[in-house]
Amino acid sequence: MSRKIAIVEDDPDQRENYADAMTMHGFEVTTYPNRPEALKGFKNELPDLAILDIMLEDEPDGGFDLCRELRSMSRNLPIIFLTARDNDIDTVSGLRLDAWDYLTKPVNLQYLAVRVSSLFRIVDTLSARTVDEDKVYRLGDLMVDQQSMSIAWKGQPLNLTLTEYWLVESMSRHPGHVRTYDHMMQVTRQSMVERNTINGYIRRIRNKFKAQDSKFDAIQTVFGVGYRWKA
Amino acid sequence: MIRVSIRYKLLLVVLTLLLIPWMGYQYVREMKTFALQGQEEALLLTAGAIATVLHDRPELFSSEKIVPATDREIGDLRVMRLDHPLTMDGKLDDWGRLAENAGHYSVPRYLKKPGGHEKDLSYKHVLGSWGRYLYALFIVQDDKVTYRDTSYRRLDNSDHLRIYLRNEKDTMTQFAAVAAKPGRMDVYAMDEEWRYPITGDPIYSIVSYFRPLENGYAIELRIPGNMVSDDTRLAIAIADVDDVKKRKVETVLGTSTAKNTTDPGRVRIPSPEIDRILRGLDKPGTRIWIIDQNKYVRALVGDLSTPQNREIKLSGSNMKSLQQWMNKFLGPVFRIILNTPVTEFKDLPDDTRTRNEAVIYQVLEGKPATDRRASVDQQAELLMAAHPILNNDKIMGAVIVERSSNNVVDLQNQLLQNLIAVTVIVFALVGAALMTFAWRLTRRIRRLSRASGHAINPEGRLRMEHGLPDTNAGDEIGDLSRSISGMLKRLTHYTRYLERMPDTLAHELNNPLNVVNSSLENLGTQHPDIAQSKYMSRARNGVNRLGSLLASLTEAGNLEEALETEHHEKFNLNKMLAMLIEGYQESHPEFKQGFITQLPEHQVILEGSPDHIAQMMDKLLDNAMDFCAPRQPVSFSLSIWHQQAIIKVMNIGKTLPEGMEERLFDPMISLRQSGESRSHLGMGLHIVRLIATAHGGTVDARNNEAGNGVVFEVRLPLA
Repeated sequence: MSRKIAIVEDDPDQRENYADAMTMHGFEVTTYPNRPEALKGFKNELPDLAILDIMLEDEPDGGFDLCRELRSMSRNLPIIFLTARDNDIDTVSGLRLDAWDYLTKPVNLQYLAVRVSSLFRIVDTLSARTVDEDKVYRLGDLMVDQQSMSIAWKGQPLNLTLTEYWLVESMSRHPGHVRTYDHMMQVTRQSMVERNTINGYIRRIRNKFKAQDSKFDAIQTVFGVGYRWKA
Repeated sequence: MIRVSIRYKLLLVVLTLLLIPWMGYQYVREMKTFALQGQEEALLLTAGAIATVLHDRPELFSSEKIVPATDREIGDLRVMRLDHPLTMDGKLDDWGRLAENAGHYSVPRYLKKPGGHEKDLSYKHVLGSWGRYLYALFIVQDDKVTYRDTSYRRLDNSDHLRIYLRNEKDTMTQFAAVAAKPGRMDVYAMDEEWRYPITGDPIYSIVSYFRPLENGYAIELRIPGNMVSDDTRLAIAIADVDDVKKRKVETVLGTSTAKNTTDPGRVRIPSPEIDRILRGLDKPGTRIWIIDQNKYVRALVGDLSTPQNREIKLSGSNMKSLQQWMNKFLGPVFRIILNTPVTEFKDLPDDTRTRNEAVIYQVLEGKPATDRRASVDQQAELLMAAHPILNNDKIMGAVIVERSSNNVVDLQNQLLQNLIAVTVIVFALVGAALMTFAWRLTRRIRRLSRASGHAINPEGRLRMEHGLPDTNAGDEIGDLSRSISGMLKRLTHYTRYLERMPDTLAHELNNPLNVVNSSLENLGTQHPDIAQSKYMSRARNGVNRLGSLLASLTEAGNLEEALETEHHEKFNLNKMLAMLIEGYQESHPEFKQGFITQLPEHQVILEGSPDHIAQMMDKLLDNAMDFCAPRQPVSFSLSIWHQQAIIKVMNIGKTLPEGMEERLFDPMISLRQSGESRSHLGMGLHIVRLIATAHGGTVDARNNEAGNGVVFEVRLPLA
């Protein structure tokens, strides 16, 4: 049974392009142009994953509102936000909307498919509730579960988005080595990434770690070059 | 344009207050005229009152026969009434003022003219009466005093005094007073030729005293009253002998102007009764004359000069203390401005010739008259009022009252002093009030001007964090402040709109770009052959470039928002920059010439966002490398100066065009030549400034001193 993906995007061309790409990757796609219609559809049948544009027709924060409503229907439904600006990511974080990932426009459809697949894998792993120890590696207080794409610090799981997971995983894989901006841009699997975007991700990651452990300093800035995980 | 501040303009306006004292001065001058008029009237009243007292009392004038005006003779001797007896000692002091005024009473006449040299004899004389005596004083100027040689029997061989007396029966008696030495003179009755005494015995009833002076001599003379009755005629002459050898009388100078030497003039003794009445009217500063129909003075009392140290105060003035206080400070000013009236001035005691004949003429016609004239020495102005004295409707004479206008001048000065004092105080108060007002006003305007000047920062952006002063004030400055404030608010909105414009634009362009992008992707996936097409790759390339342009457009906007919310931390700038350069050298292997760095040994602690500082350095280094001349390194230094971290990035290469130093940091300004491979929107240096400003610092660019490169200097305050 193919996975059902809901795409909420007010621009018909983009919406259809996303839908075509997702269909090509074997997903079942339902599209909605605005929040009320999407909500009506979700009440009919809940998708397995939702891709939400933030600005929906005349509602500048329509995506956020929809996310909240969707979250009230299902706690574990993966949601990907399509954002136009880095600052939106901060907004989403600030609103504690529990989105699973963000993708900045222009969207690379290839990466979108990868993201969707990864998220489905996480969902599957979480539902299986088993930990494949082969896929888990530890580095000091850090535990990375590659199977469920989740991170734990000092035994406490961290609520990271997919992109944030990828970045932490990438840095921790080569502790003590600098991950350059260029490399990290690749890791985020987004088409248009600036150094600032990376800095923003790292800042949010640090904040999430620090929320658990105020003395956290494992991520070091190598100014002008990139970041590294402290060996 | 000449700049005159409001303060000075108001000061000029204050100067118009000076019109007040001018006005006051004019007023006081007008008042002086009125006061003088008033005084004239008062004098006239006084004269009238005195005249009334003397009306219908012909006996007052009867002690002397009234001589018709036509009979008037210049040789008449006028006698001043003395108030004390005189000692015959040749000294002039007991004559008092009369001695000083001697000579003003009549003009001597030559009874015998000298030969060639006329001017060697002259005299001044005065006559007085007290009790039963008639006194005379002669002050003679003579180049050669000749005493009597007693070996001669003739008496006319020395300087001597001659007395002509003719009684009512026209019997003429002649006396000569001669001096053999200074002191008491011998008086003899003389023969007609003035040669020999009639008898050898001197006359003792007539006393005469000779006293030599510096250039002549003085003779005092006392004649008993019984020798001089009502109708007696009297003349006195000085005979001058100069040559001791010849002892010839050369000149005789006498009081009589009669056609011949034996025709003496009348003796005019002022009426004692009138004198007595007038004495009661005597008051300082006033002189009262009584003249008869012949214009002869019958009586004269009083003195025009007012007593010294008189204090004429404005009665009823409550400004006394103020005045005293002001006098202390303004005394010198007053002395310059005001003419203090002289208390001593000279005037003729009784010379009718210099008096205003018009007044006398008018009053003797029966009409009261007033007049003003200056005193003889021009030191004071004199007022006079004349009133006729009647007897059975016949004019017997006139009363003339004189008074100096000094007390009016005094009054005027008092008023002026008060006026000046009040003006000075009013001027000071009004001036102070206006200056305070002006000071406050200009301060407010300056504050407003400063605040509105600061409302736009050097980068041309509005900052309204403090707002403008005085927006609550209810006056025009408040209105101005409010209108500027409103203007700035509207400008702020517009500026914000302009600033948001690239961001909004990018946002709007993003969606169609995304459509193109996703369509290309889907096209490539569905038609692998097309995906390989060179056109496909060019299309993708174009989309990517468009994407990066849009990204750099939004970068500044995003950054500003990020900077506002950024959490600041303390970090070591020195270490950070070392790492940054190191990383740069690693990540830019193609930039072989590398960097020359100069960092201090110690820590440089800054508070801020290290990520953004790094981003700023990134932009600066990128810029420096882009404009660096081939094979020239980029220099980079950090130093501390005045609690500021100074970061300098220098490159050798193209210099900045003139006027670009400021604009360089504005958005969308780039010196890169179009056609370069990388897409630039000139946002890099704008971002540098945004970050520097957000950290409370500044940035500027200039050509280096050698003129072959550019220096960017960032100043950030230390933590």
